[in-house]
Amino acid sequence: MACLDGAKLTRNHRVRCDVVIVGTGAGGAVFAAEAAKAGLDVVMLEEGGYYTGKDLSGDAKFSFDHLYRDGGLTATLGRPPIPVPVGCCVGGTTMVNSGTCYRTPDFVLQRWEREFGLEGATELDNDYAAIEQDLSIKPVPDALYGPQHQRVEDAIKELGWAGSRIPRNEDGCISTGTCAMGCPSDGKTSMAVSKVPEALAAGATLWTRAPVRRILRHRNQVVGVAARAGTPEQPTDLLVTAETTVIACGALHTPALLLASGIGGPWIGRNLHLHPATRVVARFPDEIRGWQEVPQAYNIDEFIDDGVFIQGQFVPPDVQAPVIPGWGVEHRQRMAAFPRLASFGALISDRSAGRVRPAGRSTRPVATYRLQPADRDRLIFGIARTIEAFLAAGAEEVYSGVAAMPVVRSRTELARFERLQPPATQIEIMAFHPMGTVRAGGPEIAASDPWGRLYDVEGIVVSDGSLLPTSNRINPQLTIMALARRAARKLVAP
Amino acid sequence: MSRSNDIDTLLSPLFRVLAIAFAVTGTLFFLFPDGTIDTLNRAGSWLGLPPAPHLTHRFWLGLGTAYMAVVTVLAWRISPAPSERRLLMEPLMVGKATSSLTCLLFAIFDQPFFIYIANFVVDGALVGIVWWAWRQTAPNGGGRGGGHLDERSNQLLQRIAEAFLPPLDGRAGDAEGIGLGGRVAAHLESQGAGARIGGAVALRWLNVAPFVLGTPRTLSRLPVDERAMVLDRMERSRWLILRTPVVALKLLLGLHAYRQPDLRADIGVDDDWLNARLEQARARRAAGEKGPFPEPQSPDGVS
Ligand SMILES: Cc1cc2nc3c(=O)[nH]c(=O)nc-3n(C[C@H](O)[C@H](O)[C@H](O)COP(=O)(O)OP(=O)(O)OC[C@H]3O[C@@H](n4cnc5c(N)ncnc54)[C@H](O)[C@@H]3O)c2cc1C
Repeated sequence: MACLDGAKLTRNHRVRCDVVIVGTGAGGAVFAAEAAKAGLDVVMLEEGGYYTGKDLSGDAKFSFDHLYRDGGLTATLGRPPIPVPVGCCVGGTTMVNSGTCYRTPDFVLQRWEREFGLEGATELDNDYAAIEQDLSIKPVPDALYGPQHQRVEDAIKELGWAGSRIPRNEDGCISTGTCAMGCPSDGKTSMAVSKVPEALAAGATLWTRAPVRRILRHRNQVVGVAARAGTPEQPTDLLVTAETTVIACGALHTPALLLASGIGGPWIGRNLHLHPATRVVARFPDEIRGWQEVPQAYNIDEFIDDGVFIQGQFVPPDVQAPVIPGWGVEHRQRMAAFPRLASFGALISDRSAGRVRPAGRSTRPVATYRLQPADRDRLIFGIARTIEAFLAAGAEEVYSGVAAMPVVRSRTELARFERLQPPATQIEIMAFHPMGTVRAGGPEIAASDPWGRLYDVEGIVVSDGSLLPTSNRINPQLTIMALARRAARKLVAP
Repeated sequence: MSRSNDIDTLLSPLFRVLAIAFAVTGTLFFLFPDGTIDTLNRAGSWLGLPPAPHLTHRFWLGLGTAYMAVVTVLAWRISPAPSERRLLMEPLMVGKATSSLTCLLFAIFDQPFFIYIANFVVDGALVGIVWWAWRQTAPNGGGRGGGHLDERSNQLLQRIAEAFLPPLDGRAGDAEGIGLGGRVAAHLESQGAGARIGGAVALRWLNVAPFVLGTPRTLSRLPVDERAMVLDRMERSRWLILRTPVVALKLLLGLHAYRQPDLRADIGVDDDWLNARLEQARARRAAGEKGPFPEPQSPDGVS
């Protein structure tokens, strides 16, 4: 086992191994652990640094600077531009996510198999179960469940809607309430404290702060990757050649790296899905103190078949402030009620599809995405249902995240809100689940086969959110991990 | 992310847009030389300038078209990797500067046709843009070093910060007291050239944007409460060009304001809860219940 800091590499260096894996997020880390445990010589390359609980304190600024890419401001271009924060550190986005772990609904997996030729999509049970066990995935226990979720749960029962506690990957969560800033207690079993150490313990090598700039190929065979190590003042080259190259940079960066390296094919970079989301905040007459509970603990399941899922989404005041309406005195007065605020997010399963291209010859992705009217309507529907749930739970006023009507105080106002039809540009949209840009399936409609092996070139596998053929209708990390596990096992025992 | 990658992200699309613009205008001049002159003459007539005559023969049109083809190819070739190909910016600047200055001379010594003046201004501005790109991509240029936000941007940021977090009776902290503008400036600077330059452009735009809303003063000259009202209107606008910069700035202002312990305490967020848990996490680590996790080592000496 070796865990090395690429930024400290002072001279050019060359390594040979069986499998090189670029990226240590949900897809990369699981693949690495499986391959290393099977006895393969594995090298992982990660652009970001290695942080665990001892480095973290819930400070948003620190996280944006060190755990997120672009200071958390990664975004798509289009109408409207949509921020899509992604992780850039060992563990990737699993370091900053909320820990929600759902299996993809069966009807989606069946469709992937039937319509997209994603062979075996309906046979992921073993992979799901293994990951669930390894990461200790279980529904939020009573001790970590707090009033913001309880209120909404009670209200939606009254409304007759379906809902359930969220299963999360945690082992000893102590509810610091700062999941999105990196877990200071290491209770969340992100890849940095689970699969990456597991891979290292099985003999893999990890290079941190070693961004890969090119995939190397000889004719039709990928033979490894070239990473940039050292410092900006004294850069060095790290060359890793391997039998198999696994690209797991996430759905934005994987296609950019492939295309910048001259690996194309008609599907690479297309079919970008995001699960556009919006945060709805409610003010209650009494205190909730939402920072004292697990931020994402309850899911409103009622509308999943309609492509809408609504989940708790509490964030600290420095991250919540921008979605509170108003400026100046008005904004300050609303912020003063922070202990009485609750917040849920409405996410939609999008039919709109964007595209990722590299910026010039760099590996930096430029993602374009235009929200289609049907998706906008679904988002408004999701926001309206969230407002309805909050009002039913006794909220005094609800901040919709829609600039055309930022505050809703009653059911009458909610009815007016639903008739508004605001343009997408007036909705506060963010997205957390980029996927689909190197979709897996049959050769006519996909970039890779069902195990992530690219059709156009040999010796390369993609293992991350890029592979999902469509929106999977729910939080994707568990499915990304299950597909990665299955792909690694296929590599080991074809 | 290396700085050259960062600045190229900004410059690549810029040069691609320039190349397309040169190709389109070059084609229009070539296909409709007299129509182009007529259109510009009409604009000039509003300013009381004399109309330029039509072409009498096509020899100069051939040379002009060749020039447009050359600048198009230059911009197109620069666009994939501006930092690496910065030398190509030099002939582009020479071409545009020559075109701009000769038109200025013609406007002074021949006749003040609008077509001369327009070309002087447009090509002159293009020289400025390409020169700026050339400096940003210099081996030790602003695009690669840390770089600072300029003075004017800092002032504007301060004005907007005041509108976000004005002093309020009975409440702790305000923008000036916590140096909010400076904190956001430092944030933009730390994100590299793209964020710094994008931030400076956005701030200047926001400063004049009140005119679009019918407020006949720049943002920085409005009293603080009106400033807040105008920013609120922009935030609610359906026009992305008004809304996006306001939303992005509010994100940074909120982030830097409400991480200040005073302000957190003021809104009732006691960090005791978190601190107690951080302590608990430390104890667990000390007891070996969590971790230790691998620590990256210096690779010196790896074989
Ligand atoms: C705030 C937030 C909350 C979320 N909450 C949830 C949730 O609760 N449940 C859920 O299922 N999903 C959640 N998600 C999404 C989920 O975390 C991602 O879908 C998942 O992690 C994606 O996995 P991935 O392997 O595709 O990419 P990532 O996990 O993003 O990993 C990609 C890795 O590749 C590295 N990389 C990129 N380019 C290079 C390069 N050139 N060289 C070297 N390394 C490179 C990156 O630094 C990164 O570490 C959330 C996301 C966010 C932002």
